[in-house]
Amino acid sequence: MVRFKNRWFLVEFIRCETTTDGGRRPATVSSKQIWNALKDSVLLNFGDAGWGAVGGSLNVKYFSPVTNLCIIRVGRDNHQIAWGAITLLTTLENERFIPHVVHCSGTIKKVQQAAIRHNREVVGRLRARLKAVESYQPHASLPQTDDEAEEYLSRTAKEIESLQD
Amino acid sequence: MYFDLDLPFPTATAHSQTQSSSQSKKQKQKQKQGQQLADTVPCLTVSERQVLENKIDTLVHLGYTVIAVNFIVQSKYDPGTHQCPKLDLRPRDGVAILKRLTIVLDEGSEKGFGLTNNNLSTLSQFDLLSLRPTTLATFSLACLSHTVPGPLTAHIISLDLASQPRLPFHLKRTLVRTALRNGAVFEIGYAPAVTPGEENRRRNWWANAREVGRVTEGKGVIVSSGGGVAELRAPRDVINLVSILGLNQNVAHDTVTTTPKSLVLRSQTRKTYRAVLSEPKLIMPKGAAASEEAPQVDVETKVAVDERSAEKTPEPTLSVHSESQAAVGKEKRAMDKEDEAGPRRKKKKKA
Repeated sequence: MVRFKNRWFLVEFIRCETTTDGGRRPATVSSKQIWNALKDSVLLNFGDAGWGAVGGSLNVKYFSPVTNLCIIRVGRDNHQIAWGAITLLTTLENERFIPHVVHCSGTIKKVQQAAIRHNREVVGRLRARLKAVESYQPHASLPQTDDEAEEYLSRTAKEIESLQD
Repeated sequence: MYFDLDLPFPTATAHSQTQSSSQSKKQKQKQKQGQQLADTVPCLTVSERQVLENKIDTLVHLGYTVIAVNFIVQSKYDPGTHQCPKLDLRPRDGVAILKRLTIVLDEGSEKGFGLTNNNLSTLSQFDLLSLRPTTLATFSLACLSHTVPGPLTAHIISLDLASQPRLPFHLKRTLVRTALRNGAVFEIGYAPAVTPGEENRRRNWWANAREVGRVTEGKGVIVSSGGGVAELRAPRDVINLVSILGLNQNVAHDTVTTTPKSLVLRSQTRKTYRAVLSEPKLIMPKGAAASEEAPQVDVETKVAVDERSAEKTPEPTLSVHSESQAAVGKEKRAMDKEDEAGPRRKKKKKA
């Protein structure tokens, strides 16, 4: 008997419509909605047989509405179908998104590390923007100052590390 | 290093319309003043450039490093009306932006579509040339005569995969093989697969893209976006998408890395004489003249040079000295013998 093996995807949802100041607004979706959209995408592109192959193990573990980062788990056997469904996802709640698989790994440990690293990159970009553009007003849900960004980073790092298989 | 070689020009069709109207104005101006050609190169409008910059930013964020902006022309390329606008993009570190011309071939372009030596100067501003055949005649034309190396080689054969449930012509093995042998590539644009709301186009795309993958067995296939901002996908997502099309993982990986890389290199040979990329040069090491000891790598070339100089130099010295000198005559005979002996030795070595 072999243990059940998984694939973990770290997906970044990039919003296509940019605001007037060029910054990207955070998403207003939840992990449940992402799961539903993924299910629809699998059913649309791979049919009932495809959903049968991945549906049992497909699971949205984590979603951060600030950085639009998402951790998705799926059984290893047919993870290509799930990955294809993520790629072919076009809309979330009637808004266009580009799903970008940042990382794909076999254990939750590595995906946690990748998520923390990626979070730091995204927040670093936000802070650089805050410094560079005087008139830039980030969206209300985004960290407004450097201290808030630091606080946000440590909070999310704890959140991500507390994820269990 | 990931490649996306199809980023459509913003409003390419609208551009040709505005160009044609501006062209008529220009012709009038030419009649009046005789305007210089440099002034007639059109520029992108501010909003168009904004769209393009936005797209390139997204592509760079997704991890692409080489991007080709695609200027699409219907039926026939006309150097007067279809001038490639100046891009004037913000410079980015480590990102190469190329210009590509695509000619969509239909029945009207079977007689000729402007890829001729007359238009060489205007066509040379494009880094890549590509053809999009829609009929069998133009497809065979694109595969056979326009892939032959030269200054007008169309390296990319792009097919419209989404408009019909089956391709309008059969992809003949011989044609495809000839094109691939000549170094052309076939292009799959994945935009129809990720455009929402177009059920039929999406289905057609899956069927036809599979067909292209089947015929070429994945060799010489490149995958590019060919859509708007929302239709862009990251390179590794694209690789996975191609492997769902039924191609092997390694072949799918090549479609966005190795194949387009070699294609871009090959397309640079358009600007050289007979597709020669570099002129070989003999570099002698610094100490070679003094010590007469060249490293082993250069021996063959050095010998060749010595032989040539040995053949040429004695003759003038002989003519300068008096011809009646018997000693010189003997020397000459001895040298002739050596010359005769030289090739014999070589022959023995070969045998």
